[in-house]
Amino acid sequence: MKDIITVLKKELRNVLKDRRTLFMLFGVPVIMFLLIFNVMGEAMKSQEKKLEETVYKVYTNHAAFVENVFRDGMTKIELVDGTDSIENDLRDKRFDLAVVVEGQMDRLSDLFKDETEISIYSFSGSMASERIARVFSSSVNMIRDQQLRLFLTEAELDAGLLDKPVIKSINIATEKEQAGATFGGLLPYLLVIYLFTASFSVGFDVTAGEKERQTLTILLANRVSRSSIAWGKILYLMLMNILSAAISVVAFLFGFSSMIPQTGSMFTIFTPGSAALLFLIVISLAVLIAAFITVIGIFARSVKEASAYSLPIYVVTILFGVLGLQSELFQSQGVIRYIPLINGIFHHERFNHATATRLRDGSDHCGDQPGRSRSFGVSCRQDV
Amino acid sequence: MIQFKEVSKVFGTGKKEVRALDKVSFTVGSGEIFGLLGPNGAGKTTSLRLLSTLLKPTQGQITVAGLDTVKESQEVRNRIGFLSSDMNLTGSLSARELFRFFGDLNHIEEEEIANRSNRLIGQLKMGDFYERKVETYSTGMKQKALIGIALLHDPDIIIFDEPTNGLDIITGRVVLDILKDLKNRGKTLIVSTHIMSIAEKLCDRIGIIHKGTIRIIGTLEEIYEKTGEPDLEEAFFSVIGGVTEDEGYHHRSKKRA
Repeated sequence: MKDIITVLKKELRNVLKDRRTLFMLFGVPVIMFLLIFNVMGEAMKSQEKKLEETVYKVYTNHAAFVENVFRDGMTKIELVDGTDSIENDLRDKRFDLAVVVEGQMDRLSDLFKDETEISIYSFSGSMASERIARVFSSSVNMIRDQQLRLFLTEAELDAGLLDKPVIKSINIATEKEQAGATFGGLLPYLLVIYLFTASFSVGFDVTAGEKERQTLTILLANRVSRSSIAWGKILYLMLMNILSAAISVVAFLFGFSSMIPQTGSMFTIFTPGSAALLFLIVISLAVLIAAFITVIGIFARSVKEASAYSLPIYVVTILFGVLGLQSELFQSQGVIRYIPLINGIFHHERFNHATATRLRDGSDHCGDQPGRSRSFGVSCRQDV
Repeated sequence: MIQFKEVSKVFGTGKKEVRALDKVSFTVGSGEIFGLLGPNGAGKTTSLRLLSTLLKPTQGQITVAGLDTVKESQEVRNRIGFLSSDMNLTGSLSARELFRFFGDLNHIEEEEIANRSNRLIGQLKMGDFYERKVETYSTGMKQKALIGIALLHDPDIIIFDEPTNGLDIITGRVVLDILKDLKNRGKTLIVSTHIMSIAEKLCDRIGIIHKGTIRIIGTLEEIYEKTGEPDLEEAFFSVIGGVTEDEGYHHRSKKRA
């Protein structure tokens, strides 16, 4: 054990004096996450503002009806005259929406005539087109409901029947809670990817890199056992992995909080239990990944060769990370739960569940649709 | 002290098989300096790597102070100091920090590590560069640091593979002085070289190896007598049959550490 610690201490001393490697391992993730989330936050804000200020161009063969639909003035529109091809003009963004009304419609009550048909053309490749089409559809539906209510009242029938049954959609999740659930969903991906990428640079350097540079021979010709060298390097790799992953998670939390300031500090999502569970997950994954990388590094004759061997493993890792984001896929029981890395996803699932339980304060309902709600583009899943 | 018994080493299999050593046998007595001479690819480095337990023989047995290099490799490494010309030093640690690290690995007391480091730093004329990162060292500085690492645990047996390879004349002299000092202290040395003057000045006995076999072995006088040549260089060419093709190069470039 003493030799293992000696090898570990030497590697640590070496890396602590190597400012470039330290910066790549610990500085880059912090800068990267803070930068990414700040840029994303600014982009989201400017997108929202842009959409609110946009004047949507609409082509229609029934200007009076369309103007009536948008009469509240909340959505600004400009009518466009004539078109040779609705599809081409939508694609070319000459207008954002086309509304074609068939049948005679002089009054709103004509909406209920058999021959009345309203075709709404939009182009999903454009955010503006998608948005104005959505707004137009819901506005038409609202006008139709108002007209129905009027008919029923005139016929001395109970217009209140239209409101039956009473459906109350209550999303008890605050913005912070929804953001926490998103974080829980992203965490497996983030950890698995970061544990691996940190391993690549450091792990191959102290194994295949040392072989390539002929520096390992000095150690191998010494009295220390091979297993002590291997364990010292595995421990060093683990430590680097854990530190790098921890710093990445903290930077991620800071970045996330700065992107959505209304969520406040994201650090309060951790309970002692969930933090301990997260710690165990990270340790077990770090051991596994460090062992993987050490084996590859020992087998390979150069860093280049080791990188080539690790490429398929990296792809599989990303796949597991992505599957971790969609953990519903792993509901099956059986041997699959005992496969390394995959079972890490189940542990993540438990961690996410613990986090979500804390966030939701005992509720198992997440949105106005079963298992899903939307707020600032963030989804809240039933299982997280 | 050191005994090679019918040692063979084969790299690769089938068509790619290369027999680097073929039934090599020799002994080196305690306190003796044994020189292993041979052209590139003759099997010198393979012999020394086998002796230092970095490789395992395909056939035969090597013992160091009665210890088998395969079965008791850790004990063997405890008694030897190994330096090879293809070793390298990189990284952010200084020579002093590396001395401390290897001292710790050899379970030497901290105070003793400091004493030995200071002595070696002086003996190797390391100036003030021993506190700098080894990645900034010149070839000569690295070689001095590597010698220091090999000698720090005060081994009884020292194995130096081409110790003056690539060194300037001043550093080469420092290394030679170190070898002489080790000889005076009664250490057993096995040195491979292709520089005849080093072998002539230092070695008690010399073995000339060529194409994986020991062609001649003995004291300088015995070699002159057997070959009928007046000096070592002529004796060397006489033994290997003149200027020959470097058959081992292809293999050496491919083998694993």
